[in-house]
Amino acid sequence: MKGDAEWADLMRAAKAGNGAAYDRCLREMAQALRPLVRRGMYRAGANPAETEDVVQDILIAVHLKRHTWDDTRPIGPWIAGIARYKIIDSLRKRGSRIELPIEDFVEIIPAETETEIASERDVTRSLEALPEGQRNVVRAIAIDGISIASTAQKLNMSEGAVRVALHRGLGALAKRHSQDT
Amino acid sequence: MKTDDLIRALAADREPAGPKPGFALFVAAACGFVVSAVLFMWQIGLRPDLLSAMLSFDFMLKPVEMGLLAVAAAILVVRLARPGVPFGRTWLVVAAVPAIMVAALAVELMRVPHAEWLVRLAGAHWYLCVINMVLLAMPILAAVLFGLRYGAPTRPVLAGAMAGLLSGALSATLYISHCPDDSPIFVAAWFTLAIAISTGIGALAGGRLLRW
Repeated sequence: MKGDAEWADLMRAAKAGNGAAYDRCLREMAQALRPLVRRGMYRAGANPAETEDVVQDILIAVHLKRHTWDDTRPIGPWIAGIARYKIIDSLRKRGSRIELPIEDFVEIIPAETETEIASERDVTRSLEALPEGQRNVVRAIAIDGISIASTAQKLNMSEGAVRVALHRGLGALAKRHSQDT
Repeated sequence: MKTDDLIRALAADREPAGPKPGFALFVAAACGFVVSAVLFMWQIGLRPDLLSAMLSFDFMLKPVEMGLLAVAAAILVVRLARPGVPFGRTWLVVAAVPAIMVAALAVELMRVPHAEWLVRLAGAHWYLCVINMVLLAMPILAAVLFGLRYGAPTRPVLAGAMAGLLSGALSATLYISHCPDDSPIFVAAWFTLAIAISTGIGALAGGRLLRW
């Protein structure tokens, strides 16, 4: 599989501190995940319009659980495992008990891509529920797109505090999603 | 928030993600085992004839069985902590333990007269053995489940069950040094029951506690 080795390289570079590689890696994953998630939602009889929310859940999980990828193993099955878990999780929250055929997730094909259809639901709503400090930091970096240093200046915080608030904020987003019923 | 925005935030987050699952689980299991071992020495204690018992085949079979089970369960727990990792052949080792137990049981049943069977099955106090092994497994189970939260188990029930199997096998390993009953009849019945109970508790707890 072409994407596998590429993503593995990007992810290794990311682990070594290459932020640009990590950014690219997550973007490519998002594109590859979209059709996969949409197919899963469709098959399970869920609303395919919620695809983007699930893609975001998967990306947050990939980020927060990146230490569980053993970099001597192929990365494809790791992402597929997370994706499948998060799709089933989101379906379960909507009350349906569904089995997804695992064959659907054996391969994630990077060539088959799709662009985002705007979704404002889940993550935005969860963002509102964060403590104020974390919310301001996540919003500044994600939506306003400013750097950690500028965020620190703007919010009158130390850079270290911004980093910690960002990390905790992302963790809280993931938790809120997995507990949300 | 758009996905592009989210990715920007994720890429900006450079805080370390967490310890490797194998390391986290090892530390967790070791802490749980120490707690159980202290409880064991404090409340239960060694059997007085431990040294001479260690010369008997029936006695030594127990740590071998429980050790195999613990190692196999530990490997499975670590694998289940990582998404997309196949089980491999570790299942065979888990299956080998009941096979050894059944073989030892068959030999024992041939060797011992009928009248002795029930006596050996009941042992000194079989119910204490089961209760103690399950109780001693709980600190280890709690610790291993805690360690699993640092991983990403995509099959929480199965991961919890294997954590229960691991804690049951480790607790049994401790309890062997107290339990005065070495007959394979006793082991096949009550060790199996105690480990099955802790595996079941692990599965139930895993399904509830291991969401991420």
